Amino acid sequence: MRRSRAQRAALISAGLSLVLALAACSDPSQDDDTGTSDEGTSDGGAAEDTALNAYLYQAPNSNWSPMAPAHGPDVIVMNLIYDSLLGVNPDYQLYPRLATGLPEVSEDGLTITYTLQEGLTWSDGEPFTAEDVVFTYNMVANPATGSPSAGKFADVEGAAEVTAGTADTVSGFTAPDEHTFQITLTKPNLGIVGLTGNIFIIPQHVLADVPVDEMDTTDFFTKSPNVGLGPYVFEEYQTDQYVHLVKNPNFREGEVDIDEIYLRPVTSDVATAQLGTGEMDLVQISPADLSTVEALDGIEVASAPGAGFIRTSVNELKPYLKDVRLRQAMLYAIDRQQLIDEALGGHAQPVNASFMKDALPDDLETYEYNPDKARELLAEMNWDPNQVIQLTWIPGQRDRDTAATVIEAQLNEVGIKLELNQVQPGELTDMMNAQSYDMTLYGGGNYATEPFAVYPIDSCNTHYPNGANLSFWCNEEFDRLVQEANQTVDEAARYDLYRQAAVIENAEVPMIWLYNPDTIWAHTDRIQGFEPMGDQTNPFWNVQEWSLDG
Amino acid sequence: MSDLRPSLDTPDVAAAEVAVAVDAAGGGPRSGRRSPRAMAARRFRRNRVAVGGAIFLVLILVVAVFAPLIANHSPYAVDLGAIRQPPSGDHWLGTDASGRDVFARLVYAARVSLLVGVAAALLAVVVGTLVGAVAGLFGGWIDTLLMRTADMMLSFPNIVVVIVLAGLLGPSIPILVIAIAAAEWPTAARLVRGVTLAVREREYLHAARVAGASRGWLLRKHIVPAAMGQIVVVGTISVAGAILSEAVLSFLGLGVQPPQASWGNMLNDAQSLTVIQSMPWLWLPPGLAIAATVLSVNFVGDGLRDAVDPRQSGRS
Repeated sequence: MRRSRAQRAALISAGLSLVLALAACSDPSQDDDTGTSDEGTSDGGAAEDTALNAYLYQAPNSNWSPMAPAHGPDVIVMNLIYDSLLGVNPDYQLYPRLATGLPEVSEDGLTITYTLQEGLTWSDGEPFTAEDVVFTYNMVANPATGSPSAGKFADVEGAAEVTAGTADTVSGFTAPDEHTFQITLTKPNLGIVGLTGNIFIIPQHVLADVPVDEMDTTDFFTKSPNVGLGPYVFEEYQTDQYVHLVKNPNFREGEVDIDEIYLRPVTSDVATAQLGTGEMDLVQISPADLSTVEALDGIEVASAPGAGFIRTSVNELKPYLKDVRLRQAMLYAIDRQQLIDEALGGHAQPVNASFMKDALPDDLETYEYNPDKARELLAEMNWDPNQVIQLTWIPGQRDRDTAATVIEAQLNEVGIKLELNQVQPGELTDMMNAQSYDMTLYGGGNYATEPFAVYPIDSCNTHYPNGANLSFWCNEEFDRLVQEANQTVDEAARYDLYRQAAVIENAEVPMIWLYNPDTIWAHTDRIQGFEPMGDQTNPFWNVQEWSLDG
Repeated sequence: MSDLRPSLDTPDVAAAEVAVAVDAAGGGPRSGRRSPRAMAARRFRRNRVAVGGAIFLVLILVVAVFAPLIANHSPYAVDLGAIRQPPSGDHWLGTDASGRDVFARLVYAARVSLLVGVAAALLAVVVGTLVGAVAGLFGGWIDTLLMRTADMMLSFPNIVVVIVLAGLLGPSIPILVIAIAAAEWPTAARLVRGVTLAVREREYLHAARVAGASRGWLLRKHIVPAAMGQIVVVGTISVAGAILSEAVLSFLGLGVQPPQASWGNMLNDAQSLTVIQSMPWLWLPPGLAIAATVLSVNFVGDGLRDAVDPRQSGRS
């Protein structure tokens, strides 16, 4: 069939417009490393823009607020756009960021004093003062803002009044001068520095007029948190595609070297594949992919021990899950060491209590794999082999999915009927609110910096939703020991109390500890200065020392 | 997912007439000639591709039924001492990320995939036939209501309907069957309605009606038998679509739930770069199983169509 000239012209223009449409759809940042490439003559003398593409392990919740419930991918963004008084380094030690040093704690343990660096400005040029810090801490300590962290400030003078709604601000947060921030306590609380020193500071001059109860939904936090103290400034979030950040000209250590960062939420499998094609520069990889990634050209791998652990909670509100022997039997029935050795290639440590480092005694029960012992315990408690237990989790992370499969097989082996139940994040939140799950598999946390961080996941007062105790376990002796430790100024005595608490926890098994995984990062060798961080929500902790070769 | 629906517009009436002829002749007095059914069977047997497909399907069916005898391991037995092992004498197709035997899982997965495929297609065809026949026979607003509903279902992309249903109702095999059937029934409904409309105006139906036959009787004795040939073809092709839908949903984590194996979720386990590059035993067998089964079902479906309706052969 012969086409007329007009027909052919129409076809060509249709084809052209298709190409143009595709070009318009394509992601501007993927063009090349020059980022803003539409400026034309890139071969001029001007220095080229550098853009880094990094992996976000889940999609953001689009709430970049220190008062929002922590969501890892959002925390990664906040670590880049905000700054805090203190930070946590890869050894899980606190170090000063906005403060000049670690805070001074008075001898009676009741006053904590931070000295702030002088001459700092926000990314919009406004000066940063201690008033910003007072404003931020007041917001985070006020449950009316939606903050789930208000409980951490229970011992601060005046916090109870704010919680009760009889006061607007916490009298215990003060700024004696422009560069000093002071916390006054009603009783000693040694853990408060570790638990609250790294709160992201938010700009008072931007947020002062926002009503307190609208703070969690204000546009600044949900759409455009574009004023901060961090090394980068928020540019935009293209839903489910990328978060775009550009460098902050007013960063306290001077401008960073890498001009732009794109954080992309994709699955770990896709991210790993994109690392190979050069579309991704920094990815957290699964141990199973380690040897493949190591074999890639121009890719470097680095790992660091994690500060949290993968576990399953056991909902003790269910009568059939109450008996401690059931939970002990579960630990004996799961071959956790082999899970670490084989499925995780040895890139994890065993866990038998939630405490870490110096707070962990040496002589804990290790619950070595022993299915016969598990069967014995179950027989002793007359476990009903027809009782079905559901294990609920959000699938998508390889090691957790494998762990769930292994738990299912090995618990069934000893006569515990376990069913697997994969859900979406929203569904799990509903189940948590209804307290309807039997067991949930999850991970995370940082228990290495401050042992008091174990309190919220284990105490009688912090049952979900008042805290993170998802097993609804309660042991008053344990609570008393941890509380006392947190009020003990003497370090040796404090850690001794924590170790006593750990022994109770180890014997009572409030949760099924699985393993503490290493965090493995893979990045292109174009990135210089990368130092691996075990906390998967803060790979950019020292981004100011990075550079990216063209 | 490709669109496997047969073309529905013009051939309806022609097909219906042939089908009616088949039925009328089959029900009539036997002469020395071969019956149309026997002729259809003969035409099918001559179609080598279709016969090949049928043989393969029978083979898969045997494997599925006798899975426990064929597999030399349990599909659920986790062995952390032997994860991601390449094929060997003990594990014929190697092991997966938690040390389970891939061959055993493949064989057991055939059960799930066939069960879901056949059950969903059957449900879709039964519902579709009923809706189509009722719409065609009753006409009027009932027809309009039922057919616009069917059109609405057809205007959604199948897979989206299924994903939404699976997401809303939570993943499980019965839900999976219902969700897939919900996306497939309009095809059968439209076809059967077309046949019904054609048959409704024929003399023998008028005769039956005058003789006092109820609508239910007409439905059972005349309309459904008249459409049977076409229904079988649509049903067969729906099986292929349903097996694919099951695989897609399980791959996305919305279908068959672990630890149960299906070909789709076996593929899901194999998305990682490492597996794709260096562990073909984890993804090649389920992938091939899906492809070969769906292809066979489609061959059989095409063969059946050609056999039932020789005028359509060579088309499509």
